Amino acid sequence: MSRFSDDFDDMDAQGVRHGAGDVLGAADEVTRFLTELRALGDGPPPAPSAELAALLGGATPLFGRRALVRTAVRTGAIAAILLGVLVVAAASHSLPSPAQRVVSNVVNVLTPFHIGTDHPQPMIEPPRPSDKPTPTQLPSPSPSPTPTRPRTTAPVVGGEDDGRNGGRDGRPGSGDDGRGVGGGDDAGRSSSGVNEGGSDDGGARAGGSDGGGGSDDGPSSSPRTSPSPSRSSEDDHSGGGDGSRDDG
Amino acid sequence: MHIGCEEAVSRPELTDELVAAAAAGDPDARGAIYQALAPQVLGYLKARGVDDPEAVTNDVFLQLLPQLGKVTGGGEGVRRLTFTIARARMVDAARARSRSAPTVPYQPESDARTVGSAEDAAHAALSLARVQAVLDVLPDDQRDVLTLRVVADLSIEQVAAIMGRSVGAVKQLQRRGMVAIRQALAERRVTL
Repeated sequence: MSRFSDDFDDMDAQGVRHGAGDVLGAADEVTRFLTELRALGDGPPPAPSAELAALLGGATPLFGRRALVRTAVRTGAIAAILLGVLVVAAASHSLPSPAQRVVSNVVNVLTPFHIGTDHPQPMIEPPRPSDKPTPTQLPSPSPSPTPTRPRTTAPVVGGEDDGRNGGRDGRPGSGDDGRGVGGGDDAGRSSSGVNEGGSDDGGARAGGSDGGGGSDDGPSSSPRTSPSPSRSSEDDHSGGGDGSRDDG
Repeated sequence: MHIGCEEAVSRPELTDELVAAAAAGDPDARGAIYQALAPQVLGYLKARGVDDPEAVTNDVFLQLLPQLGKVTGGGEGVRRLTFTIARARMVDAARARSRSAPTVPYQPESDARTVGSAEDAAHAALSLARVQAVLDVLPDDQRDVLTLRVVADLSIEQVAAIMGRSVGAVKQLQRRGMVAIRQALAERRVTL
């Protein structure tokens, strides 16, 4: 009889409950099948092996070799994955710098591969469209301002436009209207990209000759002696600014 | 302790006290647990067509006995763990059999281990063959449910826990399995 008589209610309805064959008749093949199936578990137990007999006798099992191998394989696999991730991260310079140095040194010493310890050079950004030299801002090969085009437009009132004209033309005439500002300021702007101070002279001189930025001539003219365009740009800006104040 | 005899022996009851004594290392309690559960494990493995059910039964208890101290639920917990291990070993054996070369059928005349009357052995072999022929009609999960329910004498909840299925799913598998067996026997596709 089953230990779970209640659970067998649904099987009982089909005549499959153990012992139900007496009620339903021995001819029921389903009952016969289930009786034989149950009889499979009613036989004697198999003879235990030597290992099991020792265990049944109270012996303490050693740590299973299979479990030991499984643990070793698992640990090795995890270590290999971690090592791989670390080396890949070091090769792509993604690690913090102390770890990067350590891993790079280890890889360089122990393996035939080489990982540079320096950080990669930052990419040089392409010049923005606004910084690209326009045809009117192409650098002139000579340091002296050479007029490339006659001035066709009259200077407008704004100091910026004045300066641009002055810077472009490189003529002291841009300071005709007495605005040293424009010359100085815009000369600086144009020289920041291209003019290497050639047009600076125009602006600075204009300011100086007109008296607007006399005191600023010194610093703004210094880029002439300095080959660095960036410095000249800074200096010219300051010169221009002072000139503007002087004008005001 | 008398283990491995050919006659059917009275099966000790699997009580919580017995399990506690076995977990404490009592050899008699361990032997009693083996006597109580090994026949059903052997029958389950036979019904599922494991090639060497006696050896796999030994493996099941080699894995079970060291874990007795960690089992919760007393006797029923031990029974459930035993058949959980047995089912896992059965699946392992089935996979190994599918990977290995086909084996030759059993030849009783070359097996000197047989003890007991030839009639009993022949009857048992015939009975097992008939049962397996009927079980072969069923899909694998239905076969699993019926063998665990009938041979291992487990409740639906225990079978559900062992198979990792819901109680409702196990009930459904059992019902479908019984309907399929009844149809197969009625249509004489298999005979007992």
